[in-house]
Amino acid sequence: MINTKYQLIAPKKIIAYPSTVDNSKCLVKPKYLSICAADQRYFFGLRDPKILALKLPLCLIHEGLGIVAQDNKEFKKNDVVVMYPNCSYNNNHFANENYDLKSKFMSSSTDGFLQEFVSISSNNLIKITDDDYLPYVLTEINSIAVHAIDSVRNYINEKTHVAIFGDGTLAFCVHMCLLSLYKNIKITIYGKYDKKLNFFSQSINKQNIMNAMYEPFDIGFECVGGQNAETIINDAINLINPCGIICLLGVSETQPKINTRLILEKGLMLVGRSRSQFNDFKESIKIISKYKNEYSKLISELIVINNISDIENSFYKSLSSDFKIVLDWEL
Amino acid sequence: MTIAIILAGGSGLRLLSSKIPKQFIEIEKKPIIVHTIEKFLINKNIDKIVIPCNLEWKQFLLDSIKNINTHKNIYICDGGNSRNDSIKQAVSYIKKSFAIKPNDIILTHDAVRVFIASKLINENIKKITSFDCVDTIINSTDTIVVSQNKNTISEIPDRDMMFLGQTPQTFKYYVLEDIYLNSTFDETIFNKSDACKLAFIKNYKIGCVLGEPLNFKLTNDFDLEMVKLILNNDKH
Repeated sequence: MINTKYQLIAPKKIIAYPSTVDNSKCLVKPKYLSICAADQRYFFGLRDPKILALKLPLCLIHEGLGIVAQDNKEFKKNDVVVMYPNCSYNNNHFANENYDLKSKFMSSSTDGFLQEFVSISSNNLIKITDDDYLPYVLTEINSIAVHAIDSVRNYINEKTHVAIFGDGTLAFCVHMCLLSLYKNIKITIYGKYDKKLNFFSQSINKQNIMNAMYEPFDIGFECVGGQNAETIINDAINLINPCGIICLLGVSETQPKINTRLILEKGLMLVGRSRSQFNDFKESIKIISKYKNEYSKLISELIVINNISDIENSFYKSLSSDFKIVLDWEL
Repeated sequence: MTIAIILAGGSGLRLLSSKIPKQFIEIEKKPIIVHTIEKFLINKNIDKIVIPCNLEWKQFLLDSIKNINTHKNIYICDGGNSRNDSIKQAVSYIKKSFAIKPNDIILTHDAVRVFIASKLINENIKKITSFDCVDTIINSTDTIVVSQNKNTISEIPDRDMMFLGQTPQTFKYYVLEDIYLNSTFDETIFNKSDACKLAFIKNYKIGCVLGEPLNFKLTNDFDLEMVKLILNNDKH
C-alpha cells in the first residue's frame, strides 16, 4: 500500500513523501503523538551536523498510540494500541533489547510515528481497553521512569531517601511511579519553577533551587539533561550519601564534565537509563491507568494536526510549554 | 453507508509507452489500481468499494484484488464507454445491490491518482454533511488563460479564483441518482463534463476541499516515470 511519511529533511523542514508500506506487519493509524526532547533536538538542528546528515530524512516521534487499521492475527481493526518504538533485530523481546546495538529505535535509527500509517510488528503493540485513552500517549516517557526505578529496586527500602532533579515531564513520571510502587519512602524534588513544582504530589518534599534546603539522599534521578546537566550532576554527586546511586535520564549534547574523584571517594554508582523495555511499557500502562487524572496534567496542549504547518508549529510550541504538547493526528 | 467508486475504465491513450491501460500497469509489484483500492479499503469510514470495469479487464481485476478482498466489500460492475457512463453503471449497480438511502455518501475517485491521502478522503466525507456534493480542488501554479480558438487569448481570469479539479468528488446519493438515472443531458455536455459539472448544471450546492500536488492524475509517460521515481527514491 502507498503510505505518506512526514519526514524531517533538514532542520525545521518537514515534507510529505509517499512510500510503500509493508502490509504484512500491523498497520496502525496514529492518533495521539507527543513530542519529546529528542525530537526537538532533531527538528531544531541541535544535534551534531554530521549526525543530522547521517540520520535525515527521518520521521520523528516515538511516543504515541494509534488505531489498528486492519485485522490481523493479534489485533482487530479499530483496536486502540500503544506503540513500543524499539524494534529488536529478531522481532522478539529479549533482555536489554533496548540497548542492543542491532535494535532499531523509531525516530532515531528508523522512521518514527509521523506517518499516515505506521507499519509495526504486532509484538510492539499493547492494546488499550480504556475508552478515555488520551493519557496513554504518555506510556513511553513514563516507561523510562519505570525502567530507571526498576534498575535500582534492589537498593530501595523504607528508609531510602530519593531525590529527583528536574521539574519537567520525566521528573513528574519518576515521582508518580515512585509513589505508585513505594508508598512510604521519602522523596525530595529539586526544580526551577514553582508553577511546575505545584503540579507534583503534595506528599513529597518540593524544593525550588533558588532557595532550596538541600539534604543528602541515597538514590537520585537526574531528569534535566541539556546545558544544565553538568551543574546538576555535580550537585547531586556533592550531595549524595556514600555508596549512593544516581540514575542519569537527561540527554546532553555538551558532554558534561563530572567530578570522578568524588564518585570514587564516595563509592557511587552512576547509571544511564534512556530507553525502556517492553515489560516496562506494560507496567507503565498499569500505573497510568491508576493515576489518570494526575498524568492528564502533563498534557499542556492537544493540537489537531491537519497539515505540515500544524506539525511545525507544534514543535515551536513545545519549546515553551510546561509539559507535553500532544498531536491529535488527522493526516 | 459510504461507498467509494474507483474509476478504472480509462484506456490510457495518452500513455504511449504502454499497451495496457495505465490503471493496470504494475508499480511496486501491484497494479496501480490496487494501490488506490487499498487506500480506500483501509479507511474506516468507507463501507464498500465499487469498481466499474470493462469486460476485457474484469478477470484481470478480479485476480488482482483476490488477496485484498478478504471482507468481500469490493464489487466489480460493468464499465461504460466514458467516465460518466462508468459512473452511471456504478450508480445503477449501487441502487440495485445495496439498501442505499438518499443521504448516503458516494465518493468517486480516479484509480490513477495513486498518492491519495487518508486526509483527503476524510475531509471529503466530513464536508459532504453540509453540501450536496464536494469537489477536491487545488490552486493552479500556472496562470490559466482562456482561448476560444487555440490561437489567441480571449481571457485571463484572476488566478486567485482559478483552481484545478482533482478527485475524490463526493456526492450524496440522491444527487448521483438524479444526475445519472433520472436526467438527460446534451451528449456533448455529458461526454465533456465531470460529475461535479453535471451537478453544477443541476444547481446542486458544491463544497470544496483543498487537494494536494501529490494527488496528481497519472496521465502520460512522464507522470508514470514520476510515480516510479518517487517510490524508488524512498528506498534510498
